[in-house]
Order: sequence, then structure tokens, then C-alpha cells
Amino acid sequence: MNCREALENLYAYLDGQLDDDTVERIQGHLEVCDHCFEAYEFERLLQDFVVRKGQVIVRTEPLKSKVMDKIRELDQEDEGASGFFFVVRPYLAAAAAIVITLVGLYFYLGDSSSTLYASFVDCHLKCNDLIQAEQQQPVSPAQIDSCLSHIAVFPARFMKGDEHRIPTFGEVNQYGGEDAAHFVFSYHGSLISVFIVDQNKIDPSGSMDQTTDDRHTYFHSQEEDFNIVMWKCNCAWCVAISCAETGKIIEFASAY
Amino acid sequence: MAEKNNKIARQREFEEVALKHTDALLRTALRMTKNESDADDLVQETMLKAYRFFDRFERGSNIKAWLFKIMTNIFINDYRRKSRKPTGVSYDDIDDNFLYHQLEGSQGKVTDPEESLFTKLLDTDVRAAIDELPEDFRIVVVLAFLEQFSYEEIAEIANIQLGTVKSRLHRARKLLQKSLWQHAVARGFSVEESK
Repeated sequence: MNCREALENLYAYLDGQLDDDTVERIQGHLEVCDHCFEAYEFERLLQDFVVRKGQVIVRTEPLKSKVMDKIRELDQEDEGASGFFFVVRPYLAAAAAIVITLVGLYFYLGDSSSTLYASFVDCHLKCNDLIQAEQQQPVSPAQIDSCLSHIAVFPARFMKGDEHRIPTFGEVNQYGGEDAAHFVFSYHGSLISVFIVDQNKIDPSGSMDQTTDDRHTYFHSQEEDFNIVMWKCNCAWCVAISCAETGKIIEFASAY
Repeated sequence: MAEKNNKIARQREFEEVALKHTDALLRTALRMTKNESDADDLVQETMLKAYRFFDRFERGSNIKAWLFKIMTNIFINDYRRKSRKPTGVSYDDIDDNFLYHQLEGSQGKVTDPEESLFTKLLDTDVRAAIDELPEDFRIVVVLAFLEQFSYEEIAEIANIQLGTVKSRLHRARKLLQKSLWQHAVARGFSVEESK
């Protein structure tokens, strides 16, 4: 090992990220090279210094009991409540609650998929950037589309392959208390809200109609006021909701 | 009744395995938000979310990393959105091992930090130097230095590529060193003096 190699590996060495063989070779070099030894020692001491001084002593007892109190409170509320509700726009609250309760029944906590979760976060960040960018200039549908395409394949029968399908908006949101990617599409002039939910197991009830094409099986139903379509893609469930009468989007407030 | 017992068991388990990481979470939250009351809120939000998703936590896997992932996610999605500013920091003109090179010319042992630069720097200087880092770099530094997570764990927690962890950490070190140098100089440190 020469000095250049040794210095290149300095930080990886300090962080304990090197294999045993490389560590041994570095240590061999440091024994014979004062210059590198001193550089290593300095960086090591500096890092120790930063860690030592950067640490603050925190008092967390009050915070801990506050958290446990809240948790007990939440569990208690669950017992008293008949279901779960979303925060919705006031004028849609009553109507939306019906849909939510219906669809919500199909949801329950399954095992998490960290890969999928990561793709949500990724999507969230991209959409965040889009929204930031929007403040300066309009976001093109193509931008939203590309932001979404790696995570969602929209059903041919309802969305994809239709020239009228134009994405207009996308963000990470919550759906039924779960992390969800929330996208809005303009479809034949109507806005349709699409949620993509990280769920391994949703069991659409028998009350929904089924349609199968060469890609997916869609569960759909027409409630009195709403059209609901659910389909599974890339291990995620997509839920699309539109108002039956006007075709207008049902907009949920973020639970954040 | 059984359900009630389940809940109590769940609360107990959470209290036992998750709650003990509150200190570490709060330390990191303080450096993330740079503000005590935001840090408190962030940790509380993290814990409540973790409890809500506790059934999904794979028993036996790394709960600390899991909690930090939840917190980092909330921070990036929520807190950052409120106060995101362009960073515009230039770091490419800073040499590797910047501080070491600054001191190299001086007489005596530069490897004796208590005798040199380090005596000038106060705890608050070090914290300020960390706080001044652009956010993406700060998160990586805090996770690596203060919480000693491995590169792989940081990649998972912050949802970035392994290569990104390395490059951010590398750049962050340069910035940190430059900033520490400036703080030391502001406190009257000079190479001449140590010669």
C-alpha cells in the first residue's frame, strides 16, 4: 500500500467500513509511514472530538411518559370508536366518510414491504420537487407521469392507453391512516383521485364487481355517489375514486 | 376483553423495546430541527407513528434503525418542506483533510488536539458547525458520527444509495472541517500561535 491509497481509505477506515484485509494493509503502512500515521491520528482525534462535543445530554423522561400517555389514550379511543375517519374537506365530509368506511373495511395492517416503502418515499421526494418547481412554472403532465411511472401501472381498461388520460397532480398523502401516494388524473375531462397504498393484503369484498384484462384484475363498484376502482400493481393496491354524478375528484386532506 | 389484554401487551412491548431509543432519537432530532420544541414534536410524532405501525415491525430486526427511518422520513417530508432553502454551499474548493493541512505547517504535534486547535473550540462551536451543514449532509453526519450507524444502515434510513451516503459524508467532512477552522479562528486561534 502506498500513501495515496492509504489516505484515500482514511475515512472509510475511521468509519469501520473496510474489510479485514484492507485494514491490515493500512495498519502495515501506518507502522512504517509517519506522515500517514499522523494524518490518520489527527482525523481520528478530530472525529472523536466532534462526537464528544456534538453530543448533548438530553432529558427524555417527560417526553417518554407523554408518549406512553398518548399511546394509551389512542388505544382507549379506538375502543370507543366505531371505525376510523379521515379528515376531509368539510363540504365533502359526510359523503366521503361513507366511501372511506366502505373502502376502509378492506384494509388492515399487513406486513410492510421496505422496498415498496422506499419507493413511496422516493416518489414523495420527486413529487415534492415538482410541487416546489410548480411555484415558479407549471408542471407538465409528462413530468408527473414520469414521476409516477416507476411505481404505478394504471389499468388499461380504466386509465392507461387512453389519450384523454392526463395526470395533473401528485403527492404523498395518507389513505386510511396509511402512507399512500396520491395522484390526480384528468380523465375525459373529469378529475379522478388515485391512491396507491402499501398493503400486502387487501381483501375487496364480494360486493365489488370484478373485471380482468391481460394485466390486472379490477374490483370496481358504483356506490350511490361514487365510483371506486381498486387494482393491484407492483405489490401495491391502487384505489381510484371519482364522484359518479359530476366525475369530480374527491379530495382528502392530508393526515400529516 | 382479550383485545384489551392484547393492547396492554402491545403497549408493554413497545415500552420495552422502542421507548429506550427516545434519547438517541431526541439527540438526532435536535440536530435535525435545530430547535428544542420542534425536536420534541418530531420525536413524539415518530413514536406515535411507530406504535401505529408496530405490528409491521419485523421482530428481531434492528428497531433503532427502523425508528430512525420513520423519524427521518417524517422530518424530510414534513419539517423540511416548511423551511427548505436552497443551500448553494460550495465545498469543492475545500481540500481533503482540510484542517490537518492547515495545521501541518505548524511546529509541534498536530496530533495532540488538546494542545492545539481543539482547546479553542467550545461545545457550542462544534454543534454550530454541525447545524450549519446543509440538511442532507447534516442528516448523514449525525447518523454516522453521533449515532454510529453503518453506511448500509444510513442508506436504508435516509433512503439513499450507498454511494450517496459516502459522497455526502465525504463532502460533509470537508465542510465541517472548514467550519471548525473558521470557528477556531474567530476565537483567536492562529497557526502562528501554535508554532
